Amino acid sequence: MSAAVIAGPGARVAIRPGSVPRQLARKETGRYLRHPLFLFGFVLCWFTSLSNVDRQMSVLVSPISPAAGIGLFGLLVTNSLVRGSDRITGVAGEAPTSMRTRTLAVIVSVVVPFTVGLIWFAWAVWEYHRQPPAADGAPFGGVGNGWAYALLFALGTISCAGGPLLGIVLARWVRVRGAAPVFAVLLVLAVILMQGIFAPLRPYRLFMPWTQFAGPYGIAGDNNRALILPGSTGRYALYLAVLCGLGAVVSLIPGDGRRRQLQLTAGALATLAVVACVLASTTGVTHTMINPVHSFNP
Amino acid sequence: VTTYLARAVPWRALSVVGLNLVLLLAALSLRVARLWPLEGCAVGLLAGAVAWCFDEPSAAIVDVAPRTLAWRTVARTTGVVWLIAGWLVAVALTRETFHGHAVPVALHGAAAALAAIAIVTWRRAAGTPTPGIPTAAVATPTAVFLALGRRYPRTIPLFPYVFGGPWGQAAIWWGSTAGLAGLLLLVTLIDIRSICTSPARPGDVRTQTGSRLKQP
Repeated sequence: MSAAVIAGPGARVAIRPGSVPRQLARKETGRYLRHPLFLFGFVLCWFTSLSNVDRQMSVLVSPISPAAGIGLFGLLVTNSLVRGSDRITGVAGEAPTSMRTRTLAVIVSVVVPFTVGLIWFAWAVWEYHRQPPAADGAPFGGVGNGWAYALLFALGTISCAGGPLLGIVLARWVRVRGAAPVFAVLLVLAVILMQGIFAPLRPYRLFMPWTQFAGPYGIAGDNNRALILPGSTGRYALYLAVLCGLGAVVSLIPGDGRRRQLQLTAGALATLAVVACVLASTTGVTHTMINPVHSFNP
Repeated sequence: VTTYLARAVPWRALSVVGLNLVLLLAALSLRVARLWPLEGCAVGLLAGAVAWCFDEPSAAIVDVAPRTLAWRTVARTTGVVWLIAGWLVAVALTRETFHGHAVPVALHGAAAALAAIAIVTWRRAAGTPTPGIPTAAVATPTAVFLALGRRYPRTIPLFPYVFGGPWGQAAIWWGSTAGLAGLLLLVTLIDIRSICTSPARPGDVRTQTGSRLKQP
């Protein structure tokens, strides 16, 4: 197999066929790791996670830190990486790599936030046992630790990868400058409205890529009474994982020669996502559970 | 001025952001106790949009044109005035929601906007053509992050909770932010004026962003 040689001023780089995607992926991973927004979000995530373990709910209210600090910031990081990569290609004139290869490289770089999410998950499980929820918190009744682990993994870890993948989809499909910050705020608005605050919307909240399963929602006479909302945290994690896969495939569609094949895969994943979402909504906890213990801070 | 403004300021995008600000505050008024983070999201979006107004994608061309950066900054402020007016109207329309804190909330937005103007003008003066989008990419998610945390107001009281939050501390934080931003803006614009008016030495080429190019 012959090797191409790229010669620059004072440098000669030999590139073997097939090694370009790997090198590009390594490059994008490094760029993600050094991106100021990622580093800033990383610091915010850990600062707030370590300093804000709730007495009533333990770490079950903490997934917001990685979801916002790593996931939401990641949406902007990957959006910036894709646009930067496209800009460089535009300046270079003749594109040395295809759009598909460049998109794949940025998708691979999502391993960085996902790894942070895994580390956060390990810490959260440890902290959950070190400082378990109080009697007036959650889980309670027949709901056990497995429910809590799945909740932490879905809302904390998977959202670390989901946000960045959404950023790639946005960069590939929405060519309007500044769309990412506006989209991030609208996403937060939608998520806040659908996190179970409004009782009529609770059955449909699992459609959203981030929602709450338990919290001090309160009841008449006790404003901080802990509730567990309907749904299966494990199947919701599966739903989010399928959404991540769907995001990766959808971001590859523009500029790819195998468009039809990718569209079929996206369709199959979308169907699977609907099934997983329906399963998450109809299995597990089937009705809103109210903690029999009165909250200590009504 | 009108022709420059019509082409330079992203009016359509600003109108979309303005509508989103109204949408956020309208949603907040549905259940203020639970949806309070939307106030911080709105302030962050406002700051990001204001920063965006000052992006100059054609900086390489216009920076060496006769119109100075100071002139263009002032002209682009029209877009900011449009946004701030939208913000103030939105706060005024939903003032009942803020339980007596409508004026501080309006001022928080104005202070955030001033900080955004100062940062992007400073970066423009340093020669960065489009500092708005990176500034928005930091300001907006940071504000969202701080607003989402239930307990961050204790350590970083930028978005105090509507019921019993540390509004006094927030006034100090936002006041300091606005003061520093005003100082930065003043220093940047005075610097630009001196650069634009001082006589150039023979052989020097000066751009309106303040960078000096030495002729070989």
